[in-house]
Order: sequence, then structure tokens, then C-alpha cells
Amino acid sequence: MLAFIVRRLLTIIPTLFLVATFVFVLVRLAPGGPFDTEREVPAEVKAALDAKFRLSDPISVQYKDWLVGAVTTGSLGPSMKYHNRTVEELIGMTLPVSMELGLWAMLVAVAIGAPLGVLGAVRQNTWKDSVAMAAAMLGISVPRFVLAPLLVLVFALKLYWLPVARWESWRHLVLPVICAALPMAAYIARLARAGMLEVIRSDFVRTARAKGLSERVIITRHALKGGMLPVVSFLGPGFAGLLVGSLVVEKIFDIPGMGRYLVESVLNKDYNLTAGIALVYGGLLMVSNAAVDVAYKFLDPRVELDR
Amino acid sequence: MTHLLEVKGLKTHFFTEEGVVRAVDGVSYHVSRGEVLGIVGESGSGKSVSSLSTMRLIPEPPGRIVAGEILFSSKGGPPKDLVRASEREMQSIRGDRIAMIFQDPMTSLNPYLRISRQLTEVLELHKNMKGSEARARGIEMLTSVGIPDPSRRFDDYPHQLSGGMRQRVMIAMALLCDPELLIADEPTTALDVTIQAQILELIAERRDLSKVGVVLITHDLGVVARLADRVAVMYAGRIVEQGPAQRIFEDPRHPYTVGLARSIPRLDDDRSRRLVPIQGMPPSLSKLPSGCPFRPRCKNALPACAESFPAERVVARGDETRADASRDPAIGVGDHVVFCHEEDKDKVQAS
Repeated sequence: MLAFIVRRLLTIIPTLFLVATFVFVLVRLAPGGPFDTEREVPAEVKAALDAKFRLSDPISVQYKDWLVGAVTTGSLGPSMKYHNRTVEELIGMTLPVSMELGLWAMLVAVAIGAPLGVLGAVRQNTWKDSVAMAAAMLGISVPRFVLAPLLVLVFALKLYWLPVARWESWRHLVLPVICAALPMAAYIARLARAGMLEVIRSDFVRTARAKGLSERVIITRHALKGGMLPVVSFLGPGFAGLLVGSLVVEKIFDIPGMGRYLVESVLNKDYNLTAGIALVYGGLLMVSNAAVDVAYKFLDPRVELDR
Repeated sequence: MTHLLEVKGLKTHFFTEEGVVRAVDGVSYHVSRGEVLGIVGESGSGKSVSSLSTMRLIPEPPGRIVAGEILFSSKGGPPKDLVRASEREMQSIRGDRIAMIFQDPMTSLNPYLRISRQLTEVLELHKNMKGSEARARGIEMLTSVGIPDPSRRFDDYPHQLSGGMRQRVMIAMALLCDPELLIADEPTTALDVTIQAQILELIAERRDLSKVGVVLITHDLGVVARLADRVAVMYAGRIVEQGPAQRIFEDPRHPYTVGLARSIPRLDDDRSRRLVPIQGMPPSLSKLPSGCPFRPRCKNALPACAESFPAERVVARGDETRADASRDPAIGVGDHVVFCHEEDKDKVQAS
């Protein structure tokens, strides 16, 4: 088991290397540069900046130095926009915020979505199912940039229950977490329903019925594990998507998370910051997918780890 | 004498968008203790639906038992009509008094749970056994169905066993609570021939040792010939012929049964004999022809066959003292009955 986890994590390294190469080259291939402005900059100032950030070197040399720096010292280079800040400092500041938001949102999404989906499947074609699935459809269809102002309007500006924005106490967490979680909860509800429906119709659930087990035991003991597999496999990419997708939420609720910095870095042509954040996102996606693989082993005994 | 199970006029229909599917359309049969009743018929003849109806495991909706009685006499007590039993009563009967074995042991065991869990949960539920007591009983049961090294196998997952072993586990699971009735729905269809023989042997042994009544559902006449004491032949939701196994094989009276027997190769056959298929296709259960459902394929069809489904006709009495059928119309235990308008046996068998 441990050997599998180690091996699985090792496979991340070559993929991560490819991701690093692509983002490093791609951001530099795009037209424009970090210090291009509307106003004419004196030639010597531009030359000094280019020299400071080594932009006048050939791209292969820049890449080699950046890679060596990243592997040996974990340094991702200086930010080209935020003066005297390194990329790893900025990520160190913003990643915990994004992770906190993302993890809470995922927890809430599973807590709402999974029971809703199971209910829909167990009470298939009844009004409960219809209500649950209509809610899920609505949740998937309403984008976060619509949901967020609505939540703020109702709970902050009308009811005065929660603060409008910022990232200070737990009360500041509630609205952004709900906003990030609801669309994901809706998606999970649909996955859970489909997964459970398939399992409920399977032969082994019929066997469980033929044993005289009650409906509750059949669902919890016999159907739930298999029915939740689609949800589990979604959680890996789903979590990464939540982090990336949270930039809307971070912007609206003025949360100092990483998503905002990613967008700004792209607009600013902050090469190092874009590459650094993209690398972190890539790494997170791969780690969460590896976590899903491990979780599968726990849920489905037929999965063989030794390949 | 009351039978262990007596099904009377059972009709199970499915109400679908394409219309009413009459999967079981008026079926009566009975099973006694220590007896194997074979129900034969092709796919879609209603044999599985009739047994799932007995367990009240018909998915509802779209299915519903629209008529009939399923009388079950547990421990020689008064017959109880399972059609009218509550879900709670059914739960206490299922797996305890009536157990079921399904066709495909690959999919009928839960792949996510250990065999030990799947066995002990039955004992916890019906026998109030827990922990090591349930484990011991489970392992004992695995031993008795011939699983080698049962205490090591006990904590395996189903996918770690072969198909034959899994079917043995299914049988062990069904027999845990010492049921009075065992319904085996195509128990050997998914297994290869040598394993088939072993599984049938196991069921026969159980019938003889614990006097369990068995309903054996199959499309394989060879399986029926091996194991069944009596046979009911089903076609399009109806029983068309019923009687002692030996009589059904040696002296079939329904054109469909005759056709079935001719379409099957036998080891002791004259090599020049050609297999004769039954022409045509079974009818759609939502668009049954009038009268006898076999009529469109039947070479003996008479004008009366389009008018009505034929009444039960006794061909031979199981009990010699009641030989005069006209004086005693009640159907006895070992009677050979047929539902066919054509009464001339030579015409049927020559067709």
C-alpha cells in the first residue's frame, strides 16, 4: 500500500516537469513583455530591467537557470510586478487561503450533494427526486458570478447576517464557501444519483433484498460504496477545478487567494508568477488524482495496485 | 395435505409505456417438502418473474401482482398468502424461510464486501447470531457446500474465487438459516459443465438431507432431467404442461413440449436423427395472440385454439386410486396435466 502511494507520487514528477516546461515557454512566447507600457520607457531603464530579470538571455538559458533554481533551492524566481517579492513568497501567502476556501467548499459540496443524490436515487421518480434534481439542475446552471452577488444581497445587505466581503473571521468564510460549494454540490448530487441508480439495479442488490435485509441496510451497507465511486473519481479534478474556479469567488468577496494572483499575473505578463502558480495548480491536480486512486483501493477491493 | 408452496392463478404484469406486459398470466403450481419442481421455458416465458413474485421482489412500479395467491405453509402451519403479506413480514421470510439462488454468481455477490460479511449478515438478521458464533456457522456452511480451506476463504472478496466457488458461496448463503423453500433461478447457466454437475449434486443432497423444497428454474432440459421430481413447462406467461419429470420426458402431450424435446440433442441418439427446431418466434408479451399463445407456431392448431386458452386436462393420475378423472376432478400431487385443445396424443407426437 505504502509502496503504491510512493510509486504513484513518483509518477507525478515527469508530468510536473512537462507542465513546467510548457508554461515557462508559453508565457514567454505570447506577444508583449512585463515592462511594456503605453509610455515610452528610456532605453537604459528597459535594459536595466531586462538585465535584472535576465530577459535578454536566450530562452533556453533562462529556462535552464529557472529549472535549476527550482529543483535545487525551490526558488521560482522574483515576481516581475510585485517588487522585492519572490514567487514562492506570494504563493506561500495566498495558497493557504485558497486551500482553506477550497477544502471547506468541497466538504460542504459533498455534505449537501451526496445525500441529495442518494435520496433522488432511492426515491426515484417521486416528488422528492424531482425536487432534488431540479435543485441540482439550477445549481449547475447558475454561474458563480450570479450566485455571489445574490448571496451578498440577501444575507449581507438585507438580512445583515454575514459580512459582505474580506477574509477575517469564520463569519467571513460562510458566503464564499457556500458560493464556491453550491455548483459543485449540484454536480455531485447528479453523479451520486446516477451511481446509486446503477448499483440499486444491480444483481447483488437484488441478492441483498432476497436475504431479507431492510431497505436502510441495503442502501448503506450494499449500495453506498459502489454508488459513490463516480463521486470519488470526480473529487480529484473537482478539487483542482474548485481552486482554479475560485478566482471569481476570490474577486467578488475580496479574498487574498491564489486565483486572483493568477489572473493578474497573466494580465501583467508576470512570467515567473504565472509559471509558478500554474505549476502549483498542476501539482495539486496530480496529487488529488493520486489521492483518488488510493481512495479507490479502499472502496473497491477489485482494484489491483501492483502493476 | 397442504403443500409447502402453492401458487394459484398468479398474474404478474408490467405496466410499461409500450403497454401491459403479461409476464406471468395465470400460473398455478405447487411444491412439497423434499421435492424439486423444475420450471422450464425459454427466455421471457415468465419463469423468473413467477419466482421473483414468490419472493415479492418484482420491481414495483412498473411490475405488479395483479391476481392470484401464493400460499406458503411455514413449518407445517396454516398457509399464508404472500401476495398480501406486508413488506416487514416478507423481510422476515426472505433469506430465512425462503431463500433464493441467482443465475450469475459473478454479479450476484457484492464485490465490495467480504464473503464473511455477506454470510454473517444473514445470521445476524434472522438468527440473532453475532461475532464468533456467526463466523463459526458461516465457515461450517462453506465447508458443507464443499469449499476447500473454508476458514481461509471466509475473509476473501468474491473476485478472489472462481465462478463455481462463488456459486457454492451463494448456495451456502441461501442455506444458512435452513430455509424450507429454495428457489434456484438458473443456478448453473453461467457455469461450465463439470461445475454444473457438482452444483446440481449439491442441491440434490440438500433436498435429501434437510427436506428443503426446491423450485428449479432453467431453460436447460438436461438440468431438469437430472434433478427435478416434477416439471412445469412454461410458455408466454402460462404453464402449458405439468407432471412427473419422467412422464414429461417420455410421454409429452403438449406440442410445445414435444417440440422442445426434439430440438435437443441426446447422447444416446441415433446419429442420423436431425434436430428439429420449433418454427417461429415466441410472441411479444404485450401483444399476445388470442386463445392459446402457442397457436401461431403450433402445427396442431385447431379452430378452438384461437377462441380460448385450453382448460386443464388430466392425462394421467399420480395416484392410481383416483384413476377415474371424471369422478374426481381435483388435481392431485403426481398428476400429469396438459393445457391443449388437441386431445389426440398421436397427432401431437407425430406432428
